[in-house]
Amino acid sequence: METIDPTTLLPLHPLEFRILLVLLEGASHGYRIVRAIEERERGISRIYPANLYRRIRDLQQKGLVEESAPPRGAGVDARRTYVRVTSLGRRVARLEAERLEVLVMEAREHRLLAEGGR
Amino acid sequence: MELVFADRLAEAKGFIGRASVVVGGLLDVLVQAFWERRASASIAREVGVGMDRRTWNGGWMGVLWSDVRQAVRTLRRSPGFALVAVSTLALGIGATTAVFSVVNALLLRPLPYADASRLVAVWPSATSNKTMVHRVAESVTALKSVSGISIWTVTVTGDTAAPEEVEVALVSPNHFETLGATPVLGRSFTAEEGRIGTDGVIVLSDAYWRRRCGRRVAVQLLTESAVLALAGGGLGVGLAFGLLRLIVSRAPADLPDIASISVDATVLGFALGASLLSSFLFGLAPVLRARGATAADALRQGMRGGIGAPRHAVVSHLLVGAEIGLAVLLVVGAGLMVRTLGRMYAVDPGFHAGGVLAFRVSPPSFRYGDAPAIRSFYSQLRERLAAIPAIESVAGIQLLPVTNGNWSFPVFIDGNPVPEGGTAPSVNFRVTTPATSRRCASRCWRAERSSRVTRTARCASRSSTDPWRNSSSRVRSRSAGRSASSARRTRSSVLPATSISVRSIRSRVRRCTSLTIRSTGMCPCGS
Repeated sequence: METIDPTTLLPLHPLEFRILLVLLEGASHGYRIVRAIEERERGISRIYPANLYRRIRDLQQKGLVEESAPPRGAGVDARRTYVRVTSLGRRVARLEAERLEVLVMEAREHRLLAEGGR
Repeated sequence: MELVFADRLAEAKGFIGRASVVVGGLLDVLVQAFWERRASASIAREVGVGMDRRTWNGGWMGVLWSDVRQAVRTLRRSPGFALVAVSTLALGIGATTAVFSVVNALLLRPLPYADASRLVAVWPSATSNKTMVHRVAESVTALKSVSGISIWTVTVTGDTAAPEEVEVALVSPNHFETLGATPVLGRSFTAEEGRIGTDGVIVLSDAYWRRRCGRRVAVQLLTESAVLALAGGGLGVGLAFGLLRLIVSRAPADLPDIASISVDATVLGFALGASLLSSFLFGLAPVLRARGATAADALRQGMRGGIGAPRHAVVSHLLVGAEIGLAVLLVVGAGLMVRTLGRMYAVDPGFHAGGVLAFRVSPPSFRYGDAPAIRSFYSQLRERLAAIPAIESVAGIQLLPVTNGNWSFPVFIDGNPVPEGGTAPSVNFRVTTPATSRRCASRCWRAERSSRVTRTARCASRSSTDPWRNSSSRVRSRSAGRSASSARRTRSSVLPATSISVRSIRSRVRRCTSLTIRSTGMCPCGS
């Protein structure tokens, strides 16, 4: 099996990274992902369906997410497709977070952010 | 994807919220479709297959060009459908664009003056004069600038060009200052030119300057090329030109700013928007249908059951229902309009216009400066017309029936004085020759005989003598009281009848029922 170098997939699109972050908590479907992202961003951005599914499809093509069975306890809705993050997806998400952390640290050095928090 | 959309729609509150979801979703589909196509081109460029050379060398413009060619190829395979679709779009967009041109020029576009919203027009109920203008300017301090205007038509003659009747306006010297307009060439009036004796100064309109003086002041920008790329929109704009010409030619002459109704950049923008919107809206349903069939394969997510045939059927039924509803609405509206027009034409105006040729004559005042000269002119005109065998009768009137405008004079009644600051009731009148009275006016007067005011008009009509033969006639209001000096003043009706109508017993002029040339070179009543 061909091994993919995770660093070649960086940087991630911000929405793709957001989707991965949501899926780290467990498998989910489209609308639940949308709601989770929007709640965390407190309405700063609005995610429309076509954009969301294009990003999910891209993540699938890169092997970062895959289709999944509904998690236990979730209501049965045969129409909904669940996706979950793959192990490659976890590695890429971690690398992306580290990349962003470096950027944040640099921003802090330039006093764009207060020490130790916002 | 449909489920996310449906969930969003279900959560949206109110009409605006739902509309926002729908519009946002549509825009989202458009944007993502563009990026999809661009990504496909990028992949094809890397792989080097799937698209021709021109496409993957041309970037996103190449993708667009490829789409256009593909669309043309598809339409070529079904030329009947293409013809019907383009014709339908052309008709719809053309008609809409033409109507929008009129609405834009008359209602939406502000008047071509600086601070047009601060301009106020005052129309006095009684006859106005320069003194009234000055009084308004002095007493109404809220007005920054006040100017008077009186619109007439005159005949312009010359050695080379044919006489031409043009509309003129007598204005106060500060007229252009009041409007906030400056001349393109030359200057406007000075205050001294408002005095009698030094008032022989004119300002030509731009249209008249170009037409009569043969010089082009400004170059008109053409903005059509951008829209002509769209076949339906292009044809529609062409159709709009024709329709607009028809509308303008049939519009009442007193519509404000009628000359400025044109297919300009705003209208073309509207046509382009209408073209794009219609192509988008009508293209969306087939796109959704086609995409639904391959969604599972392409995305492998979103839905397992698919949106299914029943939903397609619902969409189709909704579209067809809306189409039929709009068509019925259009047919009913058109039918009502045709019926209204039919009834308007069926109204009995009080005279028979069949076989009547009406036209206006305008003897220029510098050649026919006094009453005898004008009488002589009309006398000769009538004799010559009457000598033509095809003509049955000739008559004159100062203002044709059922035309815009009126002549009027105030009425003062004994024992019923006009209150201080009030205005006397006025009476519209027409002075006719006997032939006109027999053919037309008698029925008009009879229809209005019950009106008290009209009795005065009848009185005026009866006392009017034939101006063709007599040197002067006297029209006097019977109601004029002794205390009303202005009404007692005898009105010298030298020759107010300047519209001539002739009745032909032959068919060769039956088609011509209204050819008019207006005369305002002289106002015989002295008003």
